[in-house]
Amino acid sequence: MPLLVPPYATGAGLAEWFIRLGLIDSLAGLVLAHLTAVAPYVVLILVAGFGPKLSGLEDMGRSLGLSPFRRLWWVTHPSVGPTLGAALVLGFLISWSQYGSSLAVGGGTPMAPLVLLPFVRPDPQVAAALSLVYVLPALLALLVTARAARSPL
Amino acid sequence: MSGLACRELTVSPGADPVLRGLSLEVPAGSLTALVGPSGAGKTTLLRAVAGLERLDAGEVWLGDRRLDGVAPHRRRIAVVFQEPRLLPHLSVEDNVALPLRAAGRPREERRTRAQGGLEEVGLGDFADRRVRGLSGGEQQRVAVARALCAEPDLLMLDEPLVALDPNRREDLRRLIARVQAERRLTTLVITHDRAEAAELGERVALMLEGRIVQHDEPRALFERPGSEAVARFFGVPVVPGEAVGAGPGTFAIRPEHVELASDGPLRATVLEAVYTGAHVRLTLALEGAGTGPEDRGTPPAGRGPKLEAWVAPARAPRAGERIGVTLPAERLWRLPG
Repeated sequence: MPLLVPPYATGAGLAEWFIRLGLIDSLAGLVLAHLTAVAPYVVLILVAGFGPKLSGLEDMGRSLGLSPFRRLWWVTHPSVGPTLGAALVLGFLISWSQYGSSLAVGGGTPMAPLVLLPFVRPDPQVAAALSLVYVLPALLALLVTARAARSPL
Repeated sequence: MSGLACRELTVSPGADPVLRGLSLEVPAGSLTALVGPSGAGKTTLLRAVAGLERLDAGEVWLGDRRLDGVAPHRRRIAVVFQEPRLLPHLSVEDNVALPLRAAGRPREERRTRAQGGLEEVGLGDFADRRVRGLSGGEQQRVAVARALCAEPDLLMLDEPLVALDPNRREDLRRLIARVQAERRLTTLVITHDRAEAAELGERVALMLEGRIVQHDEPRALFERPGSEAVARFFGVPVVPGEAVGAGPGTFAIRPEHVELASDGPLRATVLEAVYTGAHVRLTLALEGAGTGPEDRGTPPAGRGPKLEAWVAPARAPRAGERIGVTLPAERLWRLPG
């Protein structure tokens, strides 16, 4: 659902519920709010990576004499590594861009984007330097997902 | 060297049983082709023997070892699946050596034996290649080399040729036959193609609806089917008739043994004539054959018993023509029962 609904709607709904549940202005609440936004993306990526092709490879490993531990280490782990990496980085990226929900639920917890954003306005040079900071996670995400796409599962 | 024996296997991967009391024996050192239509349960049988599917009932024996209950990786069985299932992060050699690594063999031995396996399948200089750049046929060969590297007591191949184009298919079929013969490896090959089954197997087992219905040498299945269902799967037309002195029964005759003759004792109408490249396939509607003595009238065209005949293109009649047909008595096979 959070994938389909506009972020402001999700954020407003979350804020109301968190006030009722007493989670507002707490670290736990902040983590929960971010998970709400991040989980759908991560789940989509993981579902693709943990599909029938992986169980096919695992069956191959089983029939060729790999014990459960070796199978995990030699077949499963390297096969899903790129997927896990991509999910991790994309999850971080989504969380990084959660400006609204951090502001609404976080109650002033100092998150990097929140702290940095005010500096963007006054000085174009600072803004330019900061934009590099903002673009860095995105670039990293691009590199990792590109690698994952080269060894698709 | 050990033979495979499945006794009364019942397996239900979903809600309904797919194997229903299936029994099959593959004698030590021989190759059996398991053939059947899609959905008959061939792959389920393979998975059950490999230990990837739980048995509801029955026993699996390999030589004098009882396999059901043994973990898959301790069964000493190697499987070549329909797709190659190679590990993309390893080189060709490391893929082939995977079973040796599982057995904890030292690096030097792994290298030489993987190289030997690759040479056996004709990919001697592929050891250091990445898996990703290989063609489908090459990948499937690598998978065969990997299975052989495991030195299994039983080799099972699940439609290994299905993803390949006709020429490569022929190459891989020869390779499988040669390797199996050289090593005298007990082998079970699954296929849905009856011609492929006949080419591959010393013996062919036909599986219908979760059971083995006939297990025999290939020629027997094509020429002496044990039931109408077997005849239908192997493309043998079945006609009702009456043999002199033996009473009425159902007879099977191979399409290539049906002879056309203008003075033939049977009359037939050609319903369809299809040119297939090697011959013309005729669908014939017999007139009056197979009906009892009280009904000698000619059934309307298309309603009588049907027969298939393969004839040389030069001598083929056209659709709609009426012709005479001879069914040579020595070629007719009376279905039991």
